[in-house]
Amino acid sequence: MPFHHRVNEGLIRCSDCHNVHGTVNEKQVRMSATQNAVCFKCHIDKEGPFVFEHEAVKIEGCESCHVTHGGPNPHMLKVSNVNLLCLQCHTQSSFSKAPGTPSFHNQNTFFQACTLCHSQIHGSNFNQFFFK
Amino acid sequence: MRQCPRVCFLGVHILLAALGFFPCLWAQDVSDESKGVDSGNYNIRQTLEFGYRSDWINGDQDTYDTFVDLGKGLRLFDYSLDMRSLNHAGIFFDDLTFSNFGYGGDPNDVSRLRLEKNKWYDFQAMFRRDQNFWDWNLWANPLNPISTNPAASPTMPVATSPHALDLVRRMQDYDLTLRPESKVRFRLGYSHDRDDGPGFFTTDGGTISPFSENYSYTTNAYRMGVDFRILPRTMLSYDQLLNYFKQDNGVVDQNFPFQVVNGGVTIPVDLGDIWSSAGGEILPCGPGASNGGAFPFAGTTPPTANANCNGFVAYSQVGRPRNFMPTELFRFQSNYFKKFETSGSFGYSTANNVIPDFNETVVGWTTRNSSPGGTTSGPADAKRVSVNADWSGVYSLTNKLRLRDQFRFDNWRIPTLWDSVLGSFFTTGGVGLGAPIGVFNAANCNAANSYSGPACPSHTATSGPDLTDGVSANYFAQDLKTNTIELEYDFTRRFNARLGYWYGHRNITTNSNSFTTLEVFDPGGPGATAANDYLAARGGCALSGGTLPAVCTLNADGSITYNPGAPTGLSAPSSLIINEHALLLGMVARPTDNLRISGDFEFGYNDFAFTRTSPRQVQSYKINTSYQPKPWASLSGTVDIHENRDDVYTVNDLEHDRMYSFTSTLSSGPHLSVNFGYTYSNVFAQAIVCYTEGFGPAPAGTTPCPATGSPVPLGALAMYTSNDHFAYAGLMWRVNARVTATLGFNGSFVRGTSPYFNEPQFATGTPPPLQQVTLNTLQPAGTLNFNYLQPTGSIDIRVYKGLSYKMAWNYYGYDIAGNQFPAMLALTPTNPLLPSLQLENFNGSTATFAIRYAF
Repeated sequence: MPFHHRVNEGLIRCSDCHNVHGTVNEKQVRMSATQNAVCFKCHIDKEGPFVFEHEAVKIEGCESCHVTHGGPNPHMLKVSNVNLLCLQCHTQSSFSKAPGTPSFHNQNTFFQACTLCHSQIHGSNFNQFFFK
Repeated sequence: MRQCPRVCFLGVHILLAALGFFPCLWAQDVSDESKGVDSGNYNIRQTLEFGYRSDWINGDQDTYDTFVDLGKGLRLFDYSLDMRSLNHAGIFFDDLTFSNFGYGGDPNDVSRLRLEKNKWYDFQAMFRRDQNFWDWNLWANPLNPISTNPAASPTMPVATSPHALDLVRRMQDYDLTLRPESKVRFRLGYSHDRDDGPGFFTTDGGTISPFSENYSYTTNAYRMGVDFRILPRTMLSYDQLLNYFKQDNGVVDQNFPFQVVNGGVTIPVDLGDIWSSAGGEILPCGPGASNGGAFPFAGTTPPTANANCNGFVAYSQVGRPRNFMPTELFRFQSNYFKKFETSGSFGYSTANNVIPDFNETVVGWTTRNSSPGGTTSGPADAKRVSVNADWSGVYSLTNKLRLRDQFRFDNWRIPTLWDSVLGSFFTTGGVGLGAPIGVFNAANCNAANSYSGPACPSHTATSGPDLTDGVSANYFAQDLKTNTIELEYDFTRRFNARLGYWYGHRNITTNSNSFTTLEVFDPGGPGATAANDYLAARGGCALSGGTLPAVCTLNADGSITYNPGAPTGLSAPSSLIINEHALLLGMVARPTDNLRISGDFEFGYNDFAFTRTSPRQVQSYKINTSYQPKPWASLSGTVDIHENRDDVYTVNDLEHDRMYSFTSTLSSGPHLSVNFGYTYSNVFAQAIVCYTEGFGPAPAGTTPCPATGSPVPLGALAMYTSNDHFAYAGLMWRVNARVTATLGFNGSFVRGTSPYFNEPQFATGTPPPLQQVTLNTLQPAGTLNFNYLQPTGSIDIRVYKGLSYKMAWNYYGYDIAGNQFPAMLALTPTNPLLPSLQLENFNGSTATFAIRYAF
């Protein structure tokens, strides 16, 4: 797949993330040095803690949005359109804590990536909407 | 068209070599890989492979660099050194291995070193460099349409992703184990990770502009540990880990391709990336752009824009987060008792992310609130306290029956605080981009000039505060407990099965409070008089019966301070509890010595979902088989199906990921081997989404959002489907003692759909009109439909003892198979054209010519 971690290139190895001897996590995934998701071993800028956490990242983990072994979509996202990914959770619902999108959130092409504004989507220290 | 002759030349080159372009070499007897040289107490073996890589890439170089990024030039493909003590009595070490590749310009350079001295130490070091160039130009691209009104707005296609970046990550890891075989051993480690480089940053504003960001992340991690093996078959470990992270990113706006004239002054401006005059979205210059006319710009260099557009005159952001994360970890593992194996760990970790000096300054113009910008600053501190523990035990009830239990406890809490300081700019009276920003000080703004001197900020009675101090205090925590209990029984020597139950309990607590602690209202503006406190009495300090509210204080400089006192109405923490249950089944069968089948199945149910896509029902089926019918043939197959459902009303989330694959390896000895495989993956996701769409009225075919109280009107069952086929094949043929050839191929064929976001629907007619039942009709298929082919070939010719000449060819072909210009149908205000963008397609080859010497 075009978007992938650099395993085939030799930069990282399976054992960087998985422990063949087993772990308490599913799929024998290791933990980071801070007893957090192993992803943060390299992507430490996404670890936080942040003043404003994107709660789904902490509760559901990176795999709620990303396909860690690579995939067809940019940033190894689960779907091709980032807005679809956002709207799957951020739609008004009595069965979810995620807030729905406000009325001025126009889904036309100009804003076809929520992350144009919500660029600090993994968490922010200075904006509850992850603008900065 | 330029590529074929080169590829053909390359093919001829390889063919000539294969047919004996170096015939004099054929008669020589060349042994296998070097057995090395004995020197002193060591056997020393080295291999060195270096050479030249050429590349011929047509199409989108940025996409190629994002995916592959292998360029031309001299390269060190491999260097390895292997030293082994002949009698295990080396002075400083018994074994040394050192390997390297990628140096000379490849995006990935890696060095690995291992030194060990039996019973004394084991030292490992690793250096990795990763050049991460990333520019998928469709990512976050506003896809500006061709202007339907060129007289009002030009066509401004965006060629580069507003989130492109070019970072280099350098990772160093060092680990030393002292007395590795003794009863007490010590471990020391250090890691240094540095990631830096340029990229773009976007944020919310009147328009959106890719500001230049210099990324700078540094992590230093220290590890200390000790293992005790005092009891038989038992190990106790203690680790102390100290992680220091610092971030020194800086963002500035460096892109000012336009200018405005405001108040007789010409100022460079950045109008951002979003350009359209279609529908109700007119950016960067909306209908309010009335400062003397609209586009096109005056014939100047750079073009002169309307000052009433959205845009930026300056932007900067700095901040230096510092995060210290110490962790203490205790572990044990024992099979001291004959029928009982156990292991466990306890960890305590904290993090303290301190940002003392964040500052963002925006100068520009946002038409929707007539704001010339402002500042955001204030210290922030976010902490995390994490306590986790786990225990597992396996008790052999009989020789065939085992009871397994695993308990996990994970509790973390994140209390955070931001003492925010928000400043609002006010112009001296002008409007639009470039209007001078007023500065309030006693020299320029005083009672003598009614606080309305020419350099003073100009307010109105409804203006917001000039300065707002506030507090954002948040709390977020999770308490997780899980337990897995399984019974495992060996029915026969060739068949065993497991039955288990998994239980999870989550308690998620959140609490967020933001409140104002102080506001300052500066005076000055048209109509400022002593009777209205020179317009400083506004907002929460508006005069009531001619007097200030008790919470407001008139300061000596004319400003008014609003101090609301202790916050009231703060929210209380709220908790969400989720109970999770799952039935686990598993089996391993070996019907014959050369056939193995294993299966793992999970059927789970959760009584609530944290997000709409979190599953309430989970089903997982995994079956792996491996079969070796002949000594020279190995076959394996896998079925991996995962189903998630959160199919409650207004959500209707269904997801599945179904993967089927097989691999095979056929090898008739060391001279010929063939391997091939195929994987089919079917990914599906659906959920009801609600949204609003900006091209005028609600498109035909859409339905209302089913959720009560939704602020956005439209609803749809949005789906994503991706059918991915991946196939590979490889052939290795050792033609004779000197020549080894390989041929290979791997290809990904992806076919996907994403209705409501990517698929324009067509009605009958000539030309077929586009029905507005989809969103983002300008969005190309992009990653939904493509073929990515990577055939390879190589020849290795052994020239002399230990000396080889290697040639390799790699082809890369990435072609989007779907609609690349989906809106090339009709030019109407509701169906604007997408201007030509650089297609993401690329194809081409790299060829490497290398010498390998083993000695």
